Order: sequence, then structure tokens, then C-alpha cells
Amino acid sequence: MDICVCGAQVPFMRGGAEALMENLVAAAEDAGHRAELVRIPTVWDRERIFDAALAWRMTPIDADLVIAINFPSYFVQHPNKVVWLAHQHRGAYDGADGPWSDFTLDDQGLELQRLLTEWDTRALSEARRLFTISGVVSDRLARYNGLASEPLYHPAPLWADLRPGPTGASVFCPLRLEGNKRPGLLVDALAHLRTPTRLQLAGRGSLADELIAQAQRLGVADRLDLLGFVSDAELVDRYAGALAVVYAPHDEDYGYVTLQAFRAGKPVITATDSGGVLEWVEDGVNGFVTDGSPAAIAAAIDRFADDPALAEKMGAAGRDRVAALDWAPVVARLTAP
Amino acid sequence: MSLPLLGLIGGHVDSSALTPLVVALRTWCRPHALDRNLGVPAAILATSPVAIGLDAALRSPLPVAIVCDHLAELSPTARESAAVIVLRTPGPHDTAGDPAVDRTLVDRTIVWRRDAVAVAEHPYLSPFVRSRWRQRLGLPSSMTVEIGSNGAHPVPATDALASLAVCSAAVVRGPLLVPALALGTPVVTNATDAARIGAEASVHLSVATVTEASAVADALAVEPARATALGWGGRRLVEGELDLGRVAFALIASLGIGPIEFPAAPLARLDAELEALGTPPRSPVAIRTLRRAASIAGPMDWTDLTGSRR
Repeated sequence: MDICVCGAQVPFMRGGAEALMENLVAAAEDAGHRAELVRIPTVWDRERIFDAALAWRMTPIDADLVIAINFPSYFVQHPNKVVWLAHQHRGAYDGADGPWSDFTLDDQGLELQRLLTEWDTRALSEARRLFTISGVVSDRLARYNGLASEPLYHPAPLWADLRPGPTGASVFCPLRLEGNKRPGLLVDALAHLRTPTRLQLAGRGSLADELIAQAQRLGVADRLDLLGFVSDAELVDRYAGALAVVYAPHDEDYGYVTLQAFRAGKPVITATDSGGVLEWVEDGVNGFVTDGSPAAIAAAIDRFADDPALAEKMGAAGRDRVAALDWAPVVARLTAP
Repeated sequence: MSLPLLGLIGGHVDSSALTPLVVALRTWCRPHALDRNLGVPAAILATSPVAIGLDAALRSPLPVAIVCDHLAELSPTARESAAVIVLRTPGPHDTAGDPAVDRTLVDRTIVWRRDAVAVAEHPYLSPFVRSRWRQRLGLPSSMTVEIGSNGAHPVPATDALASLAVCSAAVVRGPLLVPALALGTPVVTNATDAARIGAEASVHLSVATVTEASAVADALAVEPARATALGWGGRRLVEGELDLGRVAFALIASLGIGPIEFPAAPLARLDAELEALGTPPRSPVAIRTLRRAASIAGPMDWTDLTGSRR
């Protein structure tokens, strides 16, 4: 069938949602469908946030099936609309009042929040089937919009390339250097380490300079490697050569890093408030779920540094945990009549 | 473009109960007592089956609608000639199963449930948005109220609607049950009231006995997913079955004096989408959107817009 995958576009920004959309198109084509990605630019400030939703509403799409991925693409109207929700506009929901949200408790903010909730609920209710990318996203959908949905899990990018490798001496984390990913927490943890383990952070973001200053202030700059942008090939190698992966974002939607780490046979150290990561990491089995304090994260890192065999064992368990992930059943569920 | 004139005829019986319908009709037409000085109306609405001038109206070429409480009240002429019958009923009514219904009347009958409210005047407030308002107003993070009962959390009648708008959950009995559901309130009521409005337990609201109701509401208040699902379910029930606006729209559409069903003009199409999504007529979002669209569609004529946005 002819499938249009619909998603928001924020010019000059690229993250997990973009990879998801592109990989879904490729997987649909692998399954014998014709698939195209349709995107409409979006902004996030509350004054203009309804504009793109209405643009989707008024955009006619001729296809056998539309699959909407994120806000506001699910406002598209089609008799065969399936939603596979990566995220809503979190700034209007769980992120309200947060540092990256302009939905506050003033009159206009509350009314816009009310309206967006109603719009979202109506548009999402239209879907013939409502899936999400994780249990965390399903929980939010139930909590904020009262809608039932089914989590549908998919492989992370670079799935075919990721492989286990010899256990190294550094912990690794690829992430955007932004507040919600909490890279500063990992730098703080360095200061609590008993072992001389190094921390490698790959990725770019607005906090880069702040992290350097923080590491210098804590006296751990010599054990922090800020790698900046890394190629896909280097990313695969970094995963393969790590002791473990440490990833403790705030309330992640899904968390490709966890899946990629497990695919590469590495255990994951995370925190109890890291959201979707916790759907995969089982404390003491394929990683450690800490209380999120720098000291607890450092203690977990030290355990792996003291006992690399433990890291290998838990990493192998992680690889088993994600072994069943495959795009083919995802496409089959999304395209089922 | 001016709204079509709807001539009203009444008399003999008190028609004050029709006021909410007449108000709702003003979205789509100009209802006014029949008056030759105002010109020929597009259609006539008789406020009762014994309205003065009804026989003459039925003999005229104008489409005539008649409001009645029982189909058996209609004269043979009214049954045969009325374009539309508006049947006021206390509860869900299946005209197809009514032995008093001439089969040819079924397609011409619009059911107006007496509990119906104008949904457009009741904004949907999800439990999350309610929690934000409570935060703003300095109210407790969880707040249960009771309306129409003497339970654990009674509210003075004058504060009832405001309380229903911001509470986490409510025990509601009596006439404010439908307004509560229209606001998206997670509601607990008794089986009798639920049946009266055609509400289904666990889908549109929660049903509990008098002695259990307060505790059920308190429990609902701290279960946001269930409360949100119930609140939305209740709202949808009112939108679908208990919305006076739908009665008004169905009436003017059946009389053939309403707006076209699928507007062709770009602004009207955009406006129809805004309305379908639940956007209040004068909200900043509606005004901003229509102004931006009007910048390419030409000078904005609000009367070209559909429905309540005028």
C-alpha cells in the first residue's frame, strides 16, 4: 500500500524522532510498501504552536494509510489514520513550568493549555489505531488525555551495525548536551568515583562549555572526554569498546541509547526517574538502576570497573533483552487492517 | 450575508421552556415572533402543537417545525405537513419504537432531551488542566466536591459550576449532572440519575450508592488516567446526545435554512475545523488563525464563517 509517514520538522534540529521516521519509511519499503516521509515545519512557542496543527488539519493527503509520529502531525485528517506516538508537546503537559516550556500559570497559558489538551484528545481519538513508542508515552497519554494505547517497540538506529566488543576501561554515553539529558549529573558522578574510570560523552549541545567548566571545578577534567559529534562508525566502535554505558536522562520517552548499549552487549547504569529507559534496564540483571545521585551512579560505575566480568555478564543479558526487536513486526502492526 | 429569519408562533401554553433552544438557534438564524413588518421568514417554528396560527402556517409554502412533548399531541394535519417535529423527551427516546409514531414521521423527528445543555458554553477541562487551575488558585492539589447531595464535600449552589470546573472529581446528583459532564468533570452519581441521562457506568461516569459515593470520588481524584478517561467519556456523551447546539443545528438543517454542510470557501473550511476541534469562537487562537488566513483570502467577512464563530 501507499503509506505517508507524517512528522513534525524543526529546521536545523535532528534527534531520535527524525531517525524513527526515516527508519520507518525504510522498513515499510522493505516490507513491499511505497512509503514517503511528509513533514511540516513546527515551532514550539505557545503563541504559534496551533498554527502547524491547523496546517496539518488542512493538508490533504492521498494515500492508503497515514502514520502520524509526533505532535502536531497527528492532526492530519485521513480515513485510515494510524498514530504511532513518539511524543506530544511535552512542554504543555509534564514539562509545563519547566525551563524549556512557556506554558505557565497565567491566564493565557492556562487557556492555551486547556485548548491544546482538547485538540490533542480529539485528534488522537480519530486514529483507527493508537500506538506509542513506549510504555512511558502510553502512560502519559492515559494520564493527560484519557486515551488507551499500545506500546510498540522498535529497534534503535544502527541496529545492524552494533556489535559486542572487548570490555574497555571507560564508561560511555552519547547524548545531546542539553538539560533534559542531564550530562552534568554524569560529570558530578566522576568526582565520586573511587576507580580511575574515564567518562566519554559524545554529542553536541548548549551545555558543552558549562560541562568543561564543571569538570575543571570538580578536578575531574582529566577523566572527561567530550567527543563532540561522532560519526556512525565511531559511535559503533565506542559502544563496542566501553566498560558500560551510563545514561540517566530525565523521563526519557524511549531512549535509543539503552537499546544501542544492549545491542552492543554493554550494561546500562541509569536512574529511577529516567522514564522509558526503565522499561529495559533491570536492576542487577542487565545494569543498575540508581537513585540518580552522583554518588550512586559513581558506585555503580565502580562496581563494573572492579569486576569487568560482571559488566560482560550483564551486557550479555542486555543483548538478550533486545534480541527480539525487529522492524518487520512493527510495520505489520502499523499496517494491519 | 444576513442570517435567515425564523418566524416563531406560540400561545395557549407556556413556552418559556423553549428559551434555551431559541438561544441556541441564534447561532444559525434570527428567531423572532412572526411579524409581517420583518418580512417573510425562511421557516416557521411552532412552540407547541396548539400554537396560534399553526394551521395557516402548515398551509403556507414555508417549512414548519413543531415542538411537542408527545407525538400523540400532533393533529393529523401537523403529522402530514410539518417539515420537522422537535420532540422534547425526559430521557433517551427511540422514535422508531414508539407506537404513536407514524412511520413517515420518524425521519422528520428530532429528539430534544430536556437535560440537554449548550456544549459550546461549557469548556472541556481535563483533570490535568483542572490541577493547573487549582495550583493557580491556591486550592488543594486534590479536591472533591458534592453537588445535590449532603455528602462529605458539599458545595453551596451558587458556587456549584465553578466548583465543578476546577475539582478533581465530583459527586453530582440532579440537574447539574449534565453540565458537570459537559465540563469534563470526573463524575460519580447514582444509578437512577445515570440511567436518566443514558450514561454508562465506567464509560461516561462512575456509579455508586449514596453511602459509597464520597469514597469513590475521593479514589477517582487520585487516579488521573481513569479520571481523565471518564471525564472525556462524559464530555463525549453530552456532545453526542445532550447538546442543545446539535438540536438547533439539526433543526435549521432539516428546515433547509442552515449553512451548507461542507463549506467550500477557504476561510469557512478553516473555521469549520476550528469549531470541530472545540475552539471557542472568540479565542485568541481562532482570531489569530482566521486573520492570518484572511490575509490571503481577502477581507474577512465574519458572516461567511460557519456556525458559532460569527
